[in-house]
Amino acid sequence: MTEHDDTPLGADATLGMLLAAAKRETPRAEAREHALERALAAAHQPAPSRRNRSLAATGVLLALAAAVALWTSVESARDAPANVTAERVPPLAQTNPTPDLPKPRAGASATSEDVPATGAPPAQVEKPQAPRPAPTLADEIAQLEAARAALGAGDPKRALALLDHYTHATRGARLGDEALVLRLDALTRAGRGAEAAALARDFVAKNPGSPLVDRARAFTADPNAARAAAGGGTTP
Amino acid sequence: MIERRTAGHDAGESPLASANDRAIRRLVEEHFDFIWRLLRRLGLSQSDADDAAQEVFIVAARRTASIESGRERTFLYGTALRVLANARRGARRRRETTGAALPELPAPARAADELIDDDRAHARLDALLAALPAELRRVLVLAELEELTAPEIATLEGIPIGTATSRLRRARERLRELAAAETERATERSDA
Repeated sequence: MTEHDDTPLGADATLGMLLAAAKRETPRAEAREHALERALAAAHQPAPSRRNRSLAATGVLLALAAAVALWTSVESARDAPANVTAERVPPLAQTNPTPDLPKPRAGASATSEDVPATGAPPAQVEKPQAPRPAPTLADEIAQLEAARAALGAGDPKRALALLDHYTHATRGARLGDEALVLRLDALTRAGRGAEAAALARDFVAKNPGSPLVDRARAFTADPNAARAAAGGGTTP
Repeated sequence: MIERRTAGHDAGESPLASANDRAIRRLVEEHFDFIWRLLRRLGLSQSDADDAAQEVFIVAARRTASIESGRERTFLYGTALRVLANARRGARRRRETTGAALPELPAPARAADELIDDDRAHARLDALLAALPAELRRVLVLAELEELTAPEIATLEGIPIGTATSRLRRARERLRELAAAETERATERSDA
């Protein structure tokens, strides 16, 4: 028997047929759709578990608050002239300081620029951190919130560095679109409008169904180039 | 002055709701079939698997924000095993209160080449799998049906890779013995 031990069972005629039949079995499409509907509905309702109710509600509220702030800030920040951002610090920046983020590792391939941590004390930014588990959605929101705060504080380079870190740490798994919109804004404010426009056009072309496609589309024209063409000044 | 706008966002939803919904949709799209097949091969009927898989994703949807990125499948797998255990307890209670008998295992087919019906094949495979210890059954299903590697199985099960490998070896060996014994019985019956 030992000669079979590591051989997949599919090599056996009878078992191979049974396994092949099992692999062909798939759930009904209706079951999948129904599960999705119920899951989406459940996500918008309080958790029924007595034990987890308060914890889950706290998490959702925190995440909602952060995300709403992020969103509205993206909205308001986008509308702001690039050179007056310093006075547009949103309220969350006052009550929710930029979270600690590890500095990009020396030699790492991240595209982060070496940006001084103007939005937080150096001790916080350079605080060493042990290897962390994969980020949760709440972590991702916190990271984007930090980038948004930097943008709101008139520091688009730091925002870009934080967005680079976010992308590097999370691979942009779940809030990639939101990060992209922030990046477009940060690039524009950093005087890299052409880069933002190219990125925006690429995103619009590849993600026509994204709920953020209209936000991205607003950046498809390079405002700096438009300003230069109109005879206005250019952003350094 | 800070201008806060919410207008302009599609359907007026908060971005987190949108992000959460997308995360949930992705979970279902990427993992529903895996979870459903897992539940089936671990002993649930099709309709029970529908219900249990749905429950798994409802649990996941409520905890999307706390699921670590890249560990979605592990979370769903663990949730599925808990939901399965609850489903079995419920079924056992129902049997105890109603006195209903356990469903009979289907008679094995006389020979492999007569196996023409997938439903019969499913039932026959499930009968064989049911004879395996639970930890061997799970590993076997993950390896043979979901085609996961030993490291992937180890991650899902929360066991060392060596343990996953040895369990898989024992599971294959045991299933071959069971299948051979079944075939032998079928041959004896046809000869009689």
